[in-house]
Amino acid sequence: MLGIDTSAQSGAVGMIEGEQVVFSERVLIRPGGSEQIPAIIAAALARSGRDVKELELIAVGIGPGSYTGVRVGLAIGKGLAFGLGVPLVGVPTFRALAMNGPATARLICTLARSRRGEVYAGLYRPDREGPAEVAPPAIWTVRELAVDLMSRGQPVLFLGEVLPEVEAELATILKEQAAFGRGTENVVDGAHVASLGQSQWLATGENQLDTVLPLYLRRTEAEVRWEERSCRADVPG
Amino acid sequence: MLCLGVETSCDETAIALVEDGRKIRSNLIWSQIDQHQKFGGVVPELAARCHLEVISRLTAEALAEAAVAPEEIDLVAATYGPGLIGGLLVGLSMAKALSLAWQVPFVGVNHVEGHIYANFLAHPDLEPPLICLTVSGGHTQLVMMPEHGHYQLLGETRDDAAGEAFDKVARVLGLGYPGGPHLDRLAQTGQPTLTLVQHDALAGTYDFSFSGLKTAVVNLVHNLRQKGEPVPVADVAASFQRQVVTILLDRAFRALAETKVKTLVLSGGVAANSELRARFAAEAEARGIKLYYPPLALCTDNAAMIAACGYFQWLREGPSPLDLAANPRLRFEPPPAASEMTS
Ligand SMILES: [Zn+2]
Repeated sequence: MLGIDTSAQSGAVGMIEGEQVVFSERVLIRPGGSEQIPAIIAAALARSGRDVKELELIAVGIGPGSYTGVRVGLAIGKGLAFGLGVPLVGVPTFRALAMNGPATARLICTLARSRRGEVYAGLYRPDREGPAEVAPPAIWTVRELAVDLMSRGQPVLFLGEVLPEVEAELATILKEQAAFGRGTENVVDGAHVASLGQSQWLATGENQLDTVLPLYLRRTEAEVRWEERSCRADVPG
Repeated sequence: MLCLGVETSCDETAIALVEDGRKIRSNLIWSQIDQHQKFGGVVPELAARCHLEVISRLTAEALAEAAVAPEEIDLVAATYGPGLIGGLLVGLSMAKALSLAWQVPFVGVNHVEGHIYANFLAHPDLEPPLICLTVSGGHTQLVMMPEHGHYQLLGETRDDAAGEAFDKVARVLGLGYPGGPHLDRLAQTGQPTLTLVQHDALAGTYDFSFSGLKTAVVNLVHNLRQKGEPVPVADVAASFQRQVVTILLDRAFRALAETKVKTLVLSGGVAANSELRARFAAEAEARGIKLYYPPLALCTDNAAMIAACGYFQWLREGPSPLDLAANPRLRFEPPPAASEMTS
């Protein structure tokens, strides 16, 4: 099983065999592209003495996160899955990210960068079976998110790569209710992506090679503007 | 030697299989025109979304149509620039992963170089040295090719690509998208009697500028509409097209005269324009120049040209690194300055 996630500034690739982690690498993705990932996979396979032909399933994080980043991950996944004749599954990036949190956490809020003043956020509760979704990934203003979490009255561990000012604003509003992940805790683990993909494949048996889509939580600017224009045109007078 | 080509630099998802750089086994193009039509131009984010949605299915179809099994493929070539970054990354990433999975070499191809190679696919007798004029919605470039793999950028547009100007003028005249073919048809019914710009500001250079011409059309049309006068759309189309072709013709044939090269090749979507073809053919005939252009299907963006170009590049230079970055502004280098040439 191979897992790939390129939705954030740091990308991740990991390979598992059953419960065993063969390799797991986190890489800082150069701004503007994650096209080094195939070379990184090739190197990691070589270092572990593995052959690409051993791969039986490709799992890729579908975001939320950078649309371009997610598309690169999925394009690589499609190439590998098609090329090897094995299935491809898309897994929710936030579920993989939530797996970085300790089982003792009450609530885990996963974050990814969005537009200025907004974040992508999801809410999970650690469980024996893995993180259980409390609230699905959605776009929030930082303030609304903090107010929502305050109303839940439980300690929250934030995981994910966000700007320092977002962390500062959350900390200011939530005070001691908020804790923040450190270092690699904030980066998806490719091995987690692979293991989520394995469970999903066993549960659904659905090869998503031609159907998988990034989690687009927003329509394109052009579509929004076009619709605004057409709506105005509909108004008589 | 069988090469799979991948092209996703603009609004066409294309996959092709080409044997030995010359023989097309399959050449599939998934056009996104319908998706972008209502916006009057290519929306980069939308284009990237469409590329990802169709690319694996299209690859499977290209193999099926050529009746090729994956094990028979020896090389994977993909466009790495110039173009829209979001789309480039989809095709480039998939191509690299295919090369990794199949354990065959990968080559990154310059899209504009691919356009030149569309001519080698179509004309087995074609050989450099040659001058190539590439005109499309994305590029307007005049390139000298002394031999395979060697290019010297003689001139390029300083603002709009010729095809881009065609699209914008077509929009102002209320024609459909993409504007080139519509404007071409309309121009055939009009007279090129309007002087849109007084003089060619870049005359004497090999560079192009079309934004002044485009603005002149926009202003003319707006003025007439404001005065409530009818717009002679066919005459405007014919006059605009006449002036664009005149500029292209001037640069190309002056370059041929100055370099003493006897072969001219055209490429890119605008090379399908009827006036351009007719006037270039007449001029070439008069000056003893051999003129080549690809058939329509190979003029516009396609992956067969990428596979062909990639094959010859691999023969000369071997594979590209697997971490090759996409380069949206990739270009041929202009000739070195006189002082550098002597050193
Ligand atoms: Zn092109």
